[in-house]
Amino acid sequence: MLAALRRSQLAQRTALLAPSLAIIGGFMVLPLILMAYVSILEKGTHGGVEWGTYSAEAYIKFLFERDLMGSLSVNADYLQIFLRSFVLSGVTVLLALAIGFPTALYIALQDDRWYRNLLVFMVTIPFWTNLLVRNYAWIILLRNNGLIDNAAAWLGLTQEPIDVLYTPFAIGVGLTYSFLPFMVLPIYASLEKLDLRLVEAAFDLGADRRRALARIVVPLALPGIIAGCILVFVPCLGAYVTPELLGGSKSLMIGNLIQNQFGAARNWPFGAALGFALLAIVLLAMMAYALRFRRAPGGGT
Amino acid sequence: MPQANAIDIRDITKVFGQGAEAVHALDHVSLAIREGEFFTLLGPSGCGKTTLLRLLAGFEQPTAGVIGLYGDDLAGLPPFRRPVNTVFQNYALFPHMTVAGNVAFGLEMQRWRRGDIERRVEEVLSLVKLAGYGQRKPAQLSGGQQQRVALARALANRPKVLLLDEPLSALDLKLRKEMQIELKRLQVETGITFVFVTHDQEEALTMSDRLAVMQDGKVLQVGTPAEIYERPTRRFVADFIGDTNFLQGVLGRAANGEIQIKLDVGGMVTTRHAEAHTEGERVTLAVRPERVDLEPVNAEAGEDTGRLRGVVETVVYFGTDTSYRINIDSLPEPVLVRVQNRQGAASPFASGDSVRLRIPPEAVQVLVD
Amino acid sequence: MSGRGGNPLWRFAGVRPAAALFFAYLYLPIVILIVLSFNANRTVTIWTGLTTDWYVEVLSNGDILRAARNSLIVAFSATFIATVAGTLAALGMARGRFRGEAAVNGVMGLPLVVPEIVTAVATLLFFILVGIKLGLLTVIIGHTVFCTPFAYLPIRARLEGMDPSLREAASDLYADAWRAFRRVTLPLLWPGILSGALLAFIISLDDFVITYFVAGAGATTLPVYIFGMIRIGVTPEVNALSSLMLLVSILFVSLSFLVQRQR
Repeated sequence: MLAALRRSQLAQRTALLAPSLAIIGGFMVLPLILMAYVSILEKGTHGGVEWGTYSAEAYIKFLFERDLMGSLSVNADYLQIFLRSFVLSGVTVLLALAIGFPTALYIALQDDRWYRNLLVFMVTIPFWTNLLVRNYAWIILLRNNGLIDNAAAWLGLTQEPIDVLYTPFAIGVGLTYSFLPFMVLPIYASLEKLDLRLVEAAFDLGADRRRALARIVVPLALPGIIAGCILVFVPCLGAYVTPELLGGSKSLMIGNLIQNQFGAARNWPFGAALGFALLAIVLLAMMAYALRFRRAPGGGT
Repeated sequence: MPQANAIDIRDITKVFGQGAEAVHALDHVSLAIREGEFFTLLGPSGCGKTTLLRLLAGFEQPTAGVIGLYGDDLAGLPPFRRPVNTVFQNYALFPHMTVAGNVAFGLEMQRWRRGDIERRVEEVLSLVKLAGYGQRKPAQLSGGQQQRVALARALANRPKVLLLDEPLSALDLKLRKEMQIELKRLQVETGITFVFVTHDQEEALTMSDRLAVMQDGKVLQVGTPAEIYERPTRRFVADFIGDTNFLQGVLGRAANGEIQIKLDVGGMVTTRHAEAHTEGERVTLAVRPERVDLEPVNAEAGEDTGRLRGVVETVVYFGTDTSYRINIDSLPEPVLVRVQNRQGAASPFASGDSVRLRIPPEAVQVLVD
Repeated sequence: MSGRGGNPLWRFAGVRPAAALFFAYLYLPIVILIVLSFNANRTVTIWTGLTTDWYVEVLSNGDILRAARNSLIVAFSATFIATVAGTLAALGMARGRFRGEAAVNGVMGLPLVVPEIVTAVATLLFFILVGIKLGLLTVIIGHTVFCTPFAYLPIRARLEGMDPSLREAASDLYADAWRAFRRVTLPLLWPGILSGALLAFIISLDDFVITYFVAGAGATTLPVYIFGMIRIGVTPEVNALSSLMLLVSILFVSLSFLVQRQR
């Protein structure tokens, strides 16, 4: 009888989970597997792929160039795009951390619960607004003859147009702007859980504010800080909108490169390989975080 | 006239988990709970008392054994088919319903007629002294009031047995005392069998008609509060309920209805009951501190039966009584003695005084284990 | 670590200015965009006076209205399917621990983890290779996938915060499984469901990358249309349309937030 009960529970659970798993499994996991498969297929002559013809060309293309004679020579173009993506994402993480950590601390220290919740809510709002629109706002600000340019000229700070739009700098500003909330929220979450008597104990034992911060607050908030860094780094690495709108043709990122393979370049296997590589990097980062912090004692997030 | 058993628990075992992680929450428990009594399951946390209550309610199914309710086997019956109701530890009031809505819920589920439900809800709310509170939400009530709603909600269904899972543990001391009296009144007024779970020994002694003391998934002793307190059969029971001194000794010969026991620390005491043991057996004795008398030592008095020599270690004044810790040679722990302050506050003995402990036969309880 | 903000002992240097900078950085561009959308001058950054002309223009533009209609069709369909699926999944996950729980959690969270561009590419390849014609249907399918976790998470959180003894109490009071669900679980879950649905709705309404890849001709949504406009340049019409999008999003999140906080 107990076994029957357990069986019916299992059947019920399966039925309840089935729709979601079918949606995500069928239209996300399956496509991702398909993408990995496409990355090892031969490119079709007029776009598309040659089914059943396998080739490592997509992965070779990443590092090498094939000349008309078919011989390989090193080509750092794509590597450079990856490198740029990593550097820009890294800089964004640092910028976001520099502004995000004090902000999270400021919110966590507020006495008024209502005010604290309001601030947290204000941090989250931009996440729910349209990414295109938010990046577009920066075009207005950054372009020549835009608000900042005009203001700088009016103040006599600049004689020439500032020429920052369509540069990696503009991408950095846009990326930081886009993903900043992802840094604040996890840090705030771990700061809020922190027992403030520990900091008082540090004060009592002779630590000044700076050292209490460095020795007590930061180490205890570390899981949140790392989570924030990953949450900012990952979407930056795969960003498409920001570099597309704020970056120029000379500051492509991985996202644009991938898109390009399905647009003008018509090279699906290469696009799929790039996508697969990006996915692998992201999943590895996530897994490393999960292994390091989910299990570690006292390191819950 | 023999009393009917409301609940018969026969050889119940409950195992959670499987294999190496299996936990025996209940281990071959048998109990009979009589109709109309206030029955308490008492024990420390993790002793299985709440699990037993959940088996009665039907939230869990026993791994082995039979539970009978007025002779009907409850096996496999889901909670919503059992004529018993539960008062939950945290009340479990439905936050989205009014007080009246909560109380009416069980009646609606049993498809009572609307008019009858309204009448019954009013009746029960006034029974728990909450008439006029029907339209409030649970969140608008104090802890004590929520407790009453939980009681009303369960009682409205006229359950054959009311199960109460540590219902008073969330209340502060004063409110708890009030609710203890209130619960007892409700039980007497409704005549419903109450099965009450608590870890508070004082609560158990003052409220119960009978109680069962549990430890590690087993029932150690069942009896009236007086029986449990005066005649504990197990070391755990004697220790868990009130303060107790434990002494080791060897059972001697019986004479004139009294049995002599030669104590390991030297000296003799006598007892009236040692049915479970035979002459020459090593036994543990439980002696309540308030049953021991203290006498001054005078030179000519010898080491006669029922008397032990010791030295006062500490004296603690408690108002109604004074508590002494007496060191006895070769006994690792001091003996606790409690003397009522009939003569006022001044203690006849001070720290360092030599005294004699007088342990009368009726103070000596021979433990089974 | 909450409170102590008023205590000078806890005033860490630089924290307050950084927070001020943060909120300015976060909100100034949005505020400027909205202010400029009321600027009468066509050259956007030169202020010449207040007007609502651009809004009138946007709201009477047939292409924009068609894109808005597409967006709404997609958002409603994806939200509905995702909310139903997410609710069921949350209920399925709430019934105690089980083997494979971690795997199910992983799958449910996948759309939040995988970079959008990767999802977009993979989904596009999938539709082309399986032979589903790109159009509104493919957009709806794509959106349903990433809306599902957004609907699922608030419902799951709500269920997790629910006292398990409430269901037991219902069952103790003679409610069978279905009636316990309908009378106790569902009403208590309702704010979570509503909040999840609202979040799924805005996420769908705002999505650009995935839509851009899997929308065929005739399935242009508002963000895809805005992208086209932005490519041409900064115009007051884009400002007005963008401001509208922002306001709708903010309205929906606020609603979701209020609903979620309800008891």
